[in-house]
Amino acid sequence: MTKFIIKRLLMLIPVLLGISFILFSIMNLTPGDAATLLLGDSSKPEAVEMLREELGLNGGFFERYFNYIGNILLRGDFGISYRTKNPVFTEVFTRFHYTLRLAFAAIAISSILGVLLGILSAIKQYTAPDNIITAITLGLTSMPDFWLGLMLIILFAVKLRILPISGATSWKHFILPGFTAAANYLANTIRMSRSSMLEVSRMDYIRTARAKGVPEKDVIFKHTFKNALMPIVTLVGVNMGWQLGGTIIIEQIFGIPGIGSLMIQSIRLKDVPVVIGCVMFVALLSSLINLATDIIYMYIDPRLRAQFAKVKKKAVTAND
Amino acid sequence: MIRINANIDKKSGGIIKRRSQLASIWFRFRKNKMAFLGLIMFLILVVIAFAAPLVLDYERDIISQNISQRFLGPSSQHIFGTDQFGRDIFKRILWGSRLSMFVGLGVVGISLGGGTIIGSLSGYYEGSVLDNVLMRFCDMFLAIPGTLLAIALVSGFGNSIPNLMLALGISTMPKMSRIVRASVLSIKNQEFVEAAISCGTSDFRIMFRHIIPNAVGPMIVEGTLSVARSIISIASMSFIGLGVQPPNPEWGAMLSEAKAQMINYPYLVYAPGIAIVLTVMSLTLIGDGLRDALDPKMKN
Repeated sequence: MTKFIIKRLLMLIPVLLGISFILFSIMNLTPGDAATLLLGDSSKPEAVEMLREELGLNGGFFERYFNYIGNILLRGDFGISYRTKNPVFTEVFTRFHYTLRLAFAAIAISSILGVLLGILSAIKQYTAPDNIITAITLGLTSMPDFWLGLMLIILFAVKLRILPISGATSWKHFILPGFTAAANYLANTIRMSRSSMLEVSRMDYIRTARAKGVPEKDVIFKHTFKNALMPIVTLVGVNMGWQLGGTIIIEQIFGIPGIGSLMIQSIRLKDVPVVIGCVMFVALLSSLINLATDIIYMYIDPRLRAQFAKVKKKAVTAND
Repeated sequence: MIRINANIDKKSGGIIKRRSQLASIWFRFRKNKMAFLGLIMFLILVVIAFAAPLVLDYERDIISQNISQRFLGPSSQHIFGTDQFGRDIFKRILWGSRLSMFVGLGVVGISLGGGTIIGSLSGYYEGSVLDNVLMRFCDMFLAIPGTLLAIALVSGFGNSIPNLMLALGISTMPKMSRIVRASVLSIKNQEFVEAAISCGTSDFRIMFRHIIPNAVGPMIVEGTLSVARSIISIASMSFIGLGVQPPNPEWGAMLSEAKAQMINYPYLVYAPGIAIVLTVMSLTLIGDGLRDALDPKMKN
């Protein structure tokens, strides 16, 4: 187990280095530079040159990249934002809790609602409720999330006036963005729970349970749902990871000052250290969540645990 | 369609059989009511996209401003009303279908083209250094959120329709490569590939004449669904001002313009969104229907 975890953690290093290199190249090899963008087009060339010197923008591409990576690896220093002159670390952390709250709201809504609707859809297969839920799923996947956000604003903030339009100061501010961000994942979760439930419900042990007279409620929740849970857990884990980096446009619409807004701002101004810092942070976090999902997966499925123990035993005997 | 023909010709080797297999795919597809509905919706859209320039004049109907006509609500004269510059929203939406279709197909063309090359190389030379390098590259790209990668590329290269296509094409390429690789892997150990190898056929020819034509099914399905997703991405990018620029009547760009007036004139944001939903829905239905029709497990 420990070996597995260490191996997965080590595999993260090349991925993170790769991300930093890809983004560094895109940001640096395309036209336009931070100094000009920060000072504006009408600024004096000398001023631009001074700022370039100050930000360390002069020098070869590889020289700057290795400087940047060296600082991270040796000193844990992710650089300084060109725009605010604050360390990237503080920039990311002061914004991150907004994105985290949004992600939690979205995951909670999409998981709970998704699993419930998925189960309902599966046990009522080919009846009106199933058809309605399938239609909702199709609608949700076909809808751009930003448009759903606008619709929700019109309905709940403009017409009914029960929720705020934008901002991030109270929990009420996270309801509409949470639903908007949940929409796509909700559709996935419903589909996954439905098909997983249907697959398990065709198993022999379910027929056995029914034959021996287990109440229908127990057949559904104790026998079917427990076995159908595995793929759903994985999906929630993957969703969680994507949710952290994928809410850029939703944050824009609802005026939430999270990581997504920070990334867009920084990309426009070519604030390279902040962009790379944000993406590395999000990628690291989502990989860790995926790893955690895999570990949870092993603990809740006795079959996997047994398999793992067997492999271990085999390995031990092979070593002997 | 010609490609499917070629593919099936290889597999079954006879004209009569070829027809029957294609016909059976069509039969299964047609039996699926939702997929058929999607196809009809999509055909209507294609007709609109092609007919728009015959009926409408871009200068006069789409972009010319008429301040005296601004913010007219939906009426018999203007079905969806007029926008803040007095332009008819209905006409703009009709024209917008051209942009969404064209850019969407362009994006998928780029990602499918690149993905086929990367995926078939790494699948055919599975386990080699080349495969490892290509797949690790894909992993890295997949770890960057797609929207973000596209935003970085567009803002780097500049706002224009070709750059937008390129950015979205590149950001969806890794996933496409993965899918192509998986289907190449499932095909390359079959007997007809072994036969080709034993005949001394070159690797290049085996890849592009024997393997890829047989992997075309999953690629068509993924391609169709990918056009649907691209149309959403195009609209999202235009919405945040990094894609198709106003006054072009791209649906996302229209929403972006309408957003500022949304609180007083909510009808401005209804129609472009519904247009996106219907287009994406038709493509999703077709893609899902094709997947079921092509799935060998459903053949019996």
